[in-house]
Amino acid sequence: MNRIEVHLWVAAILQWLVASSNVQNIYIMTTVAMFGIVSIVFTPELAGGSALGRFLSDFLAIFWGGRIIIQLFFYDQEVKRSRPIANLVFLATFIYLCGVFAVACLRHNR
Amino acid sequence: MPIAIPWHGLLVGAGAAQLILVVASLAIPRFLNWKGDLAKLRPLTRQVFWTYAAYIWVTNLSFGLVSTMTPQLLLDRSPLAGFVCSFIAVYWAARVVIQFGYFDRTDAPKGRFFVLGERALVTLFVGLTIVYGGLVARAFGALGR
Repeated sequence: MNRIEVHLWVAAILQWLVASSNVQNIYIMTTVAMFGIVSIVFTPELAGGSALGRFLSDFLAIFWGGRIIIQLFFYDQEVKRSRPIANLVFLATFIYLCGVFAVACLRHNR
Repeated sequence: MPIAIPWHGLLVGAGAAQLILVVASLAIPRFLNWKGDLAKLRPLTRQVFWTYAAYIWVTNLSFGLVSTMTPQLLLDRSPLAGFVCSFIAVYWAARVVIQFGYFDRTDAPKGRFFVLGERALVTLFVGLTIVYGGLVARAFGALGR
């Protein structure tokens, strides 16, 4: 297993943690949990092994990139200030997820 | 003689229908007065709600885009294609169950327009479940090419 595949496994675990933090919305929870399953079961494909895997990596990079923007610019600043650790943990998680899938995209688009 | 199912056309049609749904769903907040209703919530709860709505919208958009722009990726009978089609089929089947089993429809907007709209939506959800479910069966060799 190469380095990007290891990161995709870590990404899978993080996505399951994000899914478990969204239990109030079963649609989101299931979707994000599915991303985690894809990252574990189809790691070589997401790392560039197939066209659909590459599409999913691109999509997930954009998806988690969008979530960074929401976290930074949409959520109420006062709420974030009152929960600085939670804010940082979420932000770091989304940056990591976006980074892993972005690297997978760039790797196979080179 | 086996029936030739036009999978490519069905998939592109399903993708186009999802893209139309994505565009049409931009009007839902106004039709259902989300702004007024959500104003009663705490800011964080309101923002989480909009974030979820955005997540779902982007997910639906991606289903539509992959189905219309690169249908061959979902038609190649690979395990990943089978998995993605399974997820999309379950996603829309769940939406039908939610429509009838979870939503409180007593407070739904009344009138012919809304009744027709709901019927069209449910028909679309069922159709999408059938198309992507068929692709799952095809990926596992149960249906013809």
